[in-house]
Amino acid sequence: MNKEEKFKAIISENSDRIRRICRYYNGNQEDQKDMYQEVLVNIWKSLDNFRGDAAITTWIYRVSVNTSLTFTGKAYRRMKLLVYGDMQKVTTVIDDESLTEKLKKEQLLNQLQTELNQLPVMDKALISLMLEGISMKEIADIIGITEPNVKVKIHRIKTQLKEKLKNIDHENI
Amino acid sequence: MKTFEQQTENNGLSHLVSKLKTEDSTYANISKVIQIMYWLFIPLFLIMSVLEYNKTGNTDELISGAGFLLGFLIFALLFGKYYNEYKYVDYSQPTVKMLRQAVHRYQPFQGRMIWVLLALICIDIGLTFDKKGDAQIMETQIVFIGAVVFGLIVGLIIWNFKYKPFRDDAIRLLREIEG
Repeated sequence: MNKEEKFKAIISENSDRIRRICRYYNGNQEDQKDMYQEVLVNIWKSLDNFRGDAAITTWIYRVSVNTSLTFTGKAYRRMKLLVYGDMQKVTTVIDDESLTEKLKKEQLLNQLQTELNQLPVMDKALISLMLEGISMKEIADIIGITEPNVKVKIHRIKTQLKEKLKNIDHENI
Repeated sequence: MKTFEQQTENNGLSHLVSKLKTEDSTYANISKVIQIMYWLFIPLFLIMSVLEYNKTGNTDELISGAGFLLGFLIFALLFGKYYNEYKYVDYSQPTVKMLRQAVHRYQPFQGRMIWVLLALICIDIGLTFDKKGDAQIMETQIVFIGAVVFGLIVGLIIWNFKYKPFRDDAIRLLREIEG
């Protein structure tokens, strides 16, 4: 299989995955398209370095996350974590049953999204991978830190979010 | 049967691939030019210097030629190395590793600057031994050092506006991730 065939095969198998990552980081469709295009370019450029020692999905996530972090420099300043789709995944960020029930109220869900958007860039990257349903070990492989470190960071983010949402919930009561 | 959206996507992908292949071949051509410089220009210059020495018997000519030759050789080797390193950034590395490399790549003064300095000294030797008389030598030094300092200032200004923001962002992200 030559480079072009390999590239096309990878894209056809992973385009939805890449698009989802691009959607996490960009609010408008034009930016999503630009970032998607840039991820494809970087996949092509990095393809010669793919030795198969990581799973292809891990490799794709690495390229996507790294591209989104460096996306023409603008992503740093106005990057947004946009939570779409199923409530079950979103509520995994808050593994507190009473709060999860309350979260189903639209206002709290909106608040969760606002809080997620205010996270530091790297925390957003970790949460976006978590929302993709990726294991802690794989997240560690993508970011390049240890698995316990990923667990600690995600636990810290969740605790902070829970605290903030609890406070908001109390204020509303 | 393919949907309209799939067909559009496939067409877009083929267009992108052809653009990327063109870019790859442009890079390959630049690399070829560097190789030609290594293998043709440098030996040619060496032969010319030896012939000149044989004709005049002047040792200064030989030292001057050797200075230029060494300077060009170091620059050619450095350029080839930098070119391969900077051609593509590998985005498939773990984020932390990629960021560390970005910090290193975009720092203005690196260890290998010593080689640049050495190449400049060699060229300066080449220029100095090529001139006759103190006045001519002094004039050459002023022009050469002036040009180097000017180049350094322009380079630092470009770095400050173009590359420093990347480096600052990479450092900030590394602190966030490792902090």
